[in-house]
Amino acid sequence: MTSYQGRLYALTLALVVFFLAWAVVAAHPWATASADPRLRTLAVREAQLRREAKAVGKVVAARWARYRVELKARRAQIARVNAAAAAASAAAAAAPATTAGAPAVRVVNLPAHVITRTS
Amino acid sequence: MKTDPTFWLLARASGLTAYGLLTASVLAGLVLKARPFGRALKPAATADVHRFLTLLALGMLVLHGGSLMLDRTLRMPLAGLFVPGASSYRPVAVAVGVVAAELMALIYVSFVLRRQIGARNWRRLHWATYLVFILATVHGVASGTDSSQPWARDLYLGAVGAVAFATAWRALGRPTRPAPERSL
Amino acid sequence: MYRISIDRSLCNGYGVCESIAPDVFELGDDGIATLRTGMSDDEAVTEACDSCPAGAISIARVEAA
Repeated sequence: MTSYQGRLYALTLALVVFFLAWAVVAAHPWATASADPRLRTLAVREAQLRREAKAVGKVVAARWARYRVELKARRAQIARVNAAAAAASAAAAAAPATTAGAPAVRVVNLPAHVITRTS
Repeated sequence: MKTDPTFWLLARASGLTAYGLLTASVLAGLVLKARPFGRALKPAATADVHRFLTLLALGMLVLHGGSLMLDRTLRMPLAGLFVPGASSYRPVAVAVGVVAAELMALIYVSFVLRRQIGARNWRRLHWATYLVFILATVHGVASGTDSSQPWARDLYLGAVGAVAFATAWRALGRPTRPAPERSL
Repeated sequence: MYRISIDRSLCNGYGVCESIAPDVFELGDDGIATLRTGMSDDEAVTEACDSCPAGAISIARVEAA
């Protein structure tokens, strides 16, 4: 026996419950997203990585600072040496007499340089 | 970045509704047997509504599975809906749901084919509706996005409580004369 | 006194009749209801008749012989 009245009640109830459920879940679409255990693991890992990045940054900054100090000192040293050499050559140019220790410059004619392909 | 959650919400709503319809069907079936309302309910009508509620629940399940497949974030493959364990999202909980749904469909079809399989086998298979209800409850609690909400907890507790109560009513039954010796 | 009959083609084996009047109705090995006796003056048979979800039971009141 087909109970049309009963079926109508059942169908109406089903539709009412469905739309009610839809409204209820739509009220908090993301609220329970954190229930997924993988997200918790991910959040822990993210915090750990942030801490490590911070520590690494500190180490890198310290090394950079030390490097800059050492670079500055080295440059100062180079400047001092250059200045001393410049002063020495200026003094040598001012005394034109004996260049006993100066190496002789020799000009020679060499045969033409032939380039062949090797590959 | 949050994508459009419409299908995700549809999946949740249809899943909850399917569970409600399944619970209603189980209760209608128990009312059919235990007749707690005496002659007030027409048994033929109750039987028809009991079947129709199951059909509605199966329809809701189609909506449930379809929404899951259409959701962009979840990307549930077709196999995930039919093969237990093929889902990458909460595979065990979803597998339990798949088994429950397929068993439910099987039991529904068994009534259509009751002449072919025999009334006795049909009755035996029908006991598996309790298993369907238990599996559906486990699936909802384990994989339901809203399961941690108080209203969802109340829903599951209420459904399980109602089915347990109705089962007890059926089992205890009305005092009948002791059945005469059966020759089996 | 009631004469009882079961339309076995309608019976689905719900077993409600058996639970109401086990003296009169029983489910056979095939799961379909059968009559233990064709005549009974037990008023429970009327309830069994009304309670059959498949409407497979019919009863007729007859004068006791």
